[in-house]
Amino acid sequence: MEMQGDRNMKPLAIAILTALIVLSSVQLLRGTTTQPLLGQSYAHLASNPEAPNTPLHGILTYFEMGAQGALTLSISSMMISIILIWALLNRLEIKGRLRLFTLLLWVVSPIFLHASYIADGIAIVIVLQLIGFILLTYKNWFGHIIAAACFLGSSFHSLWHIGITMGVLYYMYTQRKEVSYIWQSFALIIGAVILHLKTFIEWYPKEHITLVSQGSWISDFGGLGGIGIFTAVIGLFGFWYLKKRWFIIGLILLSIGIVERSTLWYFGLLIGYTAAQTIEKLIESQWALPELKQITLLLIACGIVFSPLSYAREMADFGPTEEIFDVMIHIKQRTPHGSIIFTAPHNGRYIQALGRREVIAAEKYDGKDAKLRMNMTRFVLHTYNLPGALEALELWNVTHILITPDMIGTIWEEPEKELHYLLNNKEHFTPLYKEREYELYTVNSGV
Amino acid sequence: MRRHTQVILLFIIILGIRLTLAGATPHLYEDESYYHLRNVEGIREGENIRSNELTGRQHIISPVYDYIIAVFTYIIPFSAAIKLIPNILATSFVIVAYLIAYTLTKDHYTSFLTGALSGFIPIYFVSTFNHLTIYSIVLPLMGLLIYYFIHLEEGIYGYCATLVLLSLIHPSVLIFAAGLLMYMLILFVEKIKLTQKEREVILFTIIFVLWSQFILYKRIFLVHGWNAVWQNLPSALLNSYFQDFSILGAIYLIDAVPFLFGLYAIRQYLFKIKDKNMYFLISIALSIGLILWTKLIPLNTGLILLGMIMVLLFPKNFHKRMDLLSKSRFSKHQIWIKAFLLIFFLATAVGASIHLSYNEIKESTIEEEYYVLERLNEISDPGSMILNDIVDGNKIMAIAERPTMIDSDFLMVRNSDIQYEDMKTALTSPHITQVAEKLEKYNIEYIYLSPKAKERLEINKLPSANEKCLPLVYDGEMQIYEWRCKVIET
Repeated sequence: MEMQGDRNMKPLAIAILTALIVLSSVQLLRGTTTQPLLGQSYAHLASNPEAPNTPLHGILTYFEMGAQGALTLSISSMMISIILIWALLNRLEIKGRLRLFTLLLWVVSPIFLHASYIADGIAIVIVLQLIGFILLTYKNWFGHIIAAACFLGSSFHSLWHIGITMGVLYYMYTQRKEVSYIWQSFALIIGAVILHLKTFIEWYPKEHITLVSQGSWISDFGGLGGIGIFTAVIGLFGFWYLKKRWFIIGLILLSIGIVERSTLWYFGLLIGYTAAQTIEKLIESQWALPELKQITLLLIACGIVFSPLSYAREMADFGPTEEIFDVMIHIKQRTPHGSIIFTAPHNGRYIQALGRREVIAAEKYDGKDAKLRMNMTRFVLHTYNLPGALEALELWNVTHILITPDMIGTIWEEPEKELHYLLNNKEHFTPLYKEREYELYTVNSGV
Repeated sequence: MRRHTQVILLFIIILGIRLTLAGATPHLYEDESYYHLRNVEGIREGENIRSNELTGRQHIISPVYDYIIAVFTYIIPFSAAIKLIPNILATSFVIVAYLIAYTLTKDHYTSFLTGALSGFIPIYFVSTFNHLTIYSIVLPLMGLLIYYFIHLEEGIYGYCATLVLLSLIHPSVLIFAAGLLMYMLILFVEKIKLTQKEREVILFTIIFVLWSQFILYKRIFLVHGWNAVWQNLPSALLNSYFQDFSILGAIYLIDAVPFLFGLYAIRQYLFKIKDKNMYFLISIALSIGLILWTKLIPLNTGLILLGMIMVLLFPKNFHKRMDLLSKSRFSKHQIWIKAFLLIFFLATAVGASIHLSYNEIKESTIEEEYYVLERLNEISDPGSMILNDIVDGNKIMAIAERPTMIDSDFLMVRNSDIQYEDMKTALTSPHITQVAEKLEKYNIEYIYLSPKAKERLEINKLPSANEKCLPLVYDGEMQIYEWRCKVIET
C-alpha cells in the first residue's frame, strides 16, 4: 500500500470503518433489545452514597443523559480515540503500514469494545490521556498546560493514570533532555494532591473494601484485560525488534495493569504497536517457504479477529434482558421511595441504576462497611434460621427481597433452599411480584 | 537380512506380543477405553458424540481419533478393530523411533535397539496394549513431528500435515510448541543461529497450535477459567491425578536404560557438546519435565511422554559408547558385547512391560464386570440413573447402556466439587437419611460398586444398605443395590 506523506488519511478511514463494523457486531449479536447498555455499565451508573462520585456521574447527571447518553458518550469517545492515536502516531513519525496496523489492532482489541459499550468512564480517560500525550510532543507551554488539565481530569478515574503519565514525562525527559518535563511531573503531583485533598483526608484513611467483581482474566479474553491472546503473543515477539527498555516498560505497564485493571489499555496500546511491528516485518520478510508465510499471515489475521468476535459474543449476553428490565420497572413503581432491597450482589447494579432503589450489597459497592454488608448478605442467603435472618434484615432496614432465576443454580443448587425456602413463611414475607421465575417479596418484620 | 526387513520384523514381533496379551480377554481395560468405544459406536450409528445421549451432557472433545477407529470398523470386524488398530498405531512408534535414531547416529544397530526399546516403554506398553486410548496415536504422531522437524529440508509438508493432525487430536501438541520455544531459548543461550526454515516453521507452529487449540477448546476456558488446565477436577481428586513425581517411580515405569542414558545425554549436550538435533530433543524433554513438575498434566500422561523422549535421547549417547568400544581393546569382542547388551537391555524393558501387563490381566475383573453390567441392563429400565464411582462411569454407559450420575470427565460440569462430594457421601455414608437425600437429588435408582471403586473408597460394601430401602440385588465381587424408597418432605 502506498503512503503519501504524513497526513495520509487512508489508515484513519480504514480504521474508522473497521471500528464501525466491530461495534455493529455487538448490536447484531444482541439482536433487538431496548437496553442500550451492557451489564456492567449499570454498576457504574448507579451511584453509591458511600463512595465519592466520579465526573462521569456528574456529567451524566448534569446533562440528564441516562443510559442512552452514556452509551453515546462512550462510543463517541472511543471513535475520537482512533483519531487521537492516528495523530499521536503522526507526531511520533510512525508511518506507512505500521501506522495502519497499529490503528487496526487498536480497533479490533477487546478493550476497544469494552470501553465503547461499558460506560464506566474509561473511554473518557483514554481520550483525555491521548490528548495530553499528543500535546506533550509540542514545545508549547499552553499545550502543556492543557495536557496537565487532561491528566488531572483522568486522575478522578484512578490516580494510577497520574503515575503512568509521570513515567511518560520521565521518558520524554530522557529523550529530549528538557528539565521542563521534570517540573511538569512535580506540578502534576501537586495538582493531584490539591484536587484530591478532601479524598485523601476524609476517605482514604478509612478502611474500604470494594465489591467489584473483577471478572476472570482468561474466561472472557477481553474486557479490561482486553488485548486479545493473539495480539499479545505476536506483540511479545515484536519486543524482539525494539530496544530492551521497551520490554521493561511493557513489563511495568503490565504489572500496574494487573493491580489496577483500568490502566491495562496502556499496555494494550504498546502491545498493539509491537504486534504491528511483527506483522510488518513478517510481510516484508522473504520466506524460504512462501506458502507457509501466506498461511501464517492468514492465521494471525484470523486469530486477531477471533478475540474481539469472541468477546463481542460474550458481551451480547451481558444483559440486562427484557425480563430484568420489566422487573426493575415493577420495583420502581411498586415499592416506596427509600425502600432497601435485599438480593444477590450481582443484581444490585440494576436495582440501583434502573429500579432507583438502594441495595445492601452491589457489584460496584465501594464503602467502609462493604465487608459487613457482604457478610450479612452471605449469612441471610444461606441460612435456614428464620429469626436470625429476620434480625439481620431488620438491622439493615431491608424492606423487600428480590429473587432472580440465575440465583437458583449459583447461590442455591436448587430451588426451595435456605433463604428461598424461608420465603415460604407467609407471616413474615408477602409475595409482591412473581413472574417468569422472578420473585419480589415484602419483608413484614416491622421495618 | 536387510535393515528394513529387520525393522518390519521387529514391528511384527512387538505387535504380536501386544495382541497376544490383549487377546487374554475379548473386552477392554480401563474406563477411558469405554468412553472411546461409545464414541465409535455412536459414530457408526450417526449420533452426535459431543452430546451424551444417555445423560444429555456436553463433551468438548476432538472426535478425530474416534473417527479413525470407526473407519476401520467398517473394513474389519468391530471387535477386532478396537484391539488391532490401537495396537498397530502404538507399535508404529517403533518405526518412528528407529528413523529418528538412524538420523542421529547413522548406525543400524543403535537404531534397531532404540526401536526395540521404544516398543517396550513399560508405562506406554501397559497403558495401550488392551486400551482404546488416544495415546496410542499421540505418541507416534509426536515422534513423527520430531522426525520431520529434524528433516525440515525435505519433510516440510509431512511436518505440516502431522502438526495439523496432532493439533486436531490432542492438546499435547502444546507441549511440542512449548518445546520449540525452549529450543529457541537454548540456541540463544548457546549462541547458535536458527536456520531460516526453522524460524519460519517455529513461528507457524506456535501460531497454528495456539489458534487451533483456541478454536477447539475455547468453550472450556470460558466456562471454567484456569480450572480448565486441571480439567475442572474436584479438589479432592487433584492430588491423585496430578501426583508428585518420584525419580524411582519414573525409572521403573520408563525403564532404567533409556532413562539413565537420556539423563546422561542431557547433561553431556547441555553443558559440553554442541549439537542442534540433541538440543531440540533436550528442549522437548525439559518442557515435559517442567510441565510435570508444575503438575499441569496428569502423572501418567507425563511419564508416557517422558518415556518417549528419553528413548529418543538414548541412541546418540549409546552410539558414542559403542564407538569407544570399537576403538578399545575389547573391539575384537564387540559383536558379542553388542549382542549381550541387546539381550540385556531388551530383557529389562520387555520384562517390566510384560510384568506390568500380566499384573493388569491378573487383577482385571472385566469378565465378571461385563456379565454384571449386562445383568444391570436387564433388571433396570432404560433411563434408570446409576450411582457409581468415577472409575466406572463410562463402562456402565457403554455396557449397561444406562446413564450415570458421574464419570471421569468433569469438563462442562458446573459444580464438580459438589457432584463429587455427593457421590462420595452416597457411597460411603452409613446414614440412610443422608444417602437418601443424595439419591433423590440425582434421581438414582441403582447403585453399582466395582472392586476398583471399593478399593478407592475404602469400603467393602455399601455402608447404608438395608433390606427395605436399599437392598443388595446382586452380590459378588461387584455389587448392585436398588433404591426402593422415596423421600417425602413434610
